[in-house]
Amino acid sequence: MKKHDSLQDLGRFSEPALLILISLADSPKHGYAMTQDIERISGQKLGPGTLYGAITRLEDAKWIEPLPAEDRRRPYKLTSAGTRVLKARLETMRAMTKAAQARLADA
Amino acid sequence: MRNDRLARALLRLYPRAWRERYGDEFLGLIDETGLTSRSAANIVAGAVTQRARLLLAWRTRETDPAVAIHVFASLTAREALIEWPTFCALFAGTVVGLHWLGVPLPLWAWWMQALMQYFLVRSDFVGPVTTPLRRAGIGYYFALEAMALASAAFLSGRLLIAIGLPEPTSDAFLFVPLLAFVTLAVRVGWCAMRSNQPHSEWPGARSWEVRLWRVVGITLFVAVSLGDSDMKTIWGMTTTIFLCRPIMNRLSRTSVARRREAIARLRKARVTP
Repeated sequence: MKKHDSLQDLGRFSEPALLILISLADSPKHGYAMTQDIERISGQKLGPGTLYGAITRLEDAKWIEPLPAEDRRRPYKLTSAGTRVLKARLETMRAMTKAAQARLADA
Repeated sequence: MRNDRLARALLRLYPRAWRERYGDEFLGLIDETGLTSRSAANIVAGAVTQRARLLLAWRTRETDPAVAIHVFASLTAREALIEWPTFCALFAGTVVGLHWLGVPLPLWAWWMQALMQYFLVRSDFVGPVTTPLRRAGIGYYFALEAMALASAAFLSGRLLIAIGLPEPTSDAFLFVPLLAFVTLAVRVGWCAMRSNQPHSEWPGARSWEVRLWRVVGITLFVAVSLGDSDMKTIWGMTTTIFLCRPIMNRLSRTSVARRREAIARLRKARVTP
């Protein structure tokens, strides 16, 4: 059984998954709180199908885990594996940003 | 109230297992965000993705004629009465429909392909699919998928003519679009499987035996096609590739292990999956 080790393995769900991981980085959140938070930090409004498509995959990969439901709201929290994946992805993005900025400065 | 009913209806598009796990919170989210035409479209797209994910999960299980025959032999009379006529009716309808559209493929090849797919796919149904009608439906889906691939060359050729390009020669008409489509389909299928089913692998896809057989198959296909522009060769080879695919999979060590496990499970359970 091969497990995912990178967000890129989630295909078209990699971007929503990254946004969810970022959203859960400071505290557990339920679906609605995640959409609000993601809209605030990225300007993107994730549809319910996209949000739960990504949540399903993140939970399968054991990068997030559900907490006990409160009424119809179920919060999710980041796992240690999820934190590791998020840090790795952010590190890659940081390197990309640095390289892009350097090239723009040279141009 | 109307939105609530619509949300519940949309939720029913998702697979049952998914609904049982995420249904309540999903409805809660829709309740809080409100249901617009855009979010409804997003929910439908999500449902299609989840269904495809489920299909791919089954598809990636080992398929094996030995298991399929074992399973087939254990069909109950009731199941056989529901399943086979349903599958045959669906398939016959498709064949008649495609002939009506003028797709020139010999009937025997379609039936052979369909039956083979059906037998092989049946062995996937150890567990997740329980009703005969659903099994027949999924079997039909795989047979249809295989037929779509087989008809792709013809349809691509028709498309070239329809958009005003010169009529292709016999070789280009069949061979070029077929190769392009098969390559694309394999690539897209692989990517989709990897993104949708993170913990599974295509049976035997990484073993050297399968890679070797794939190279042999492609080389043979190209060599024969270059030497003979007769359409029959192309279709014959296409059908052969489909028929040989499960044999390629059977050769891998992973496949052998999974096959033994599946047969052992069936013998132990002694029930119709």
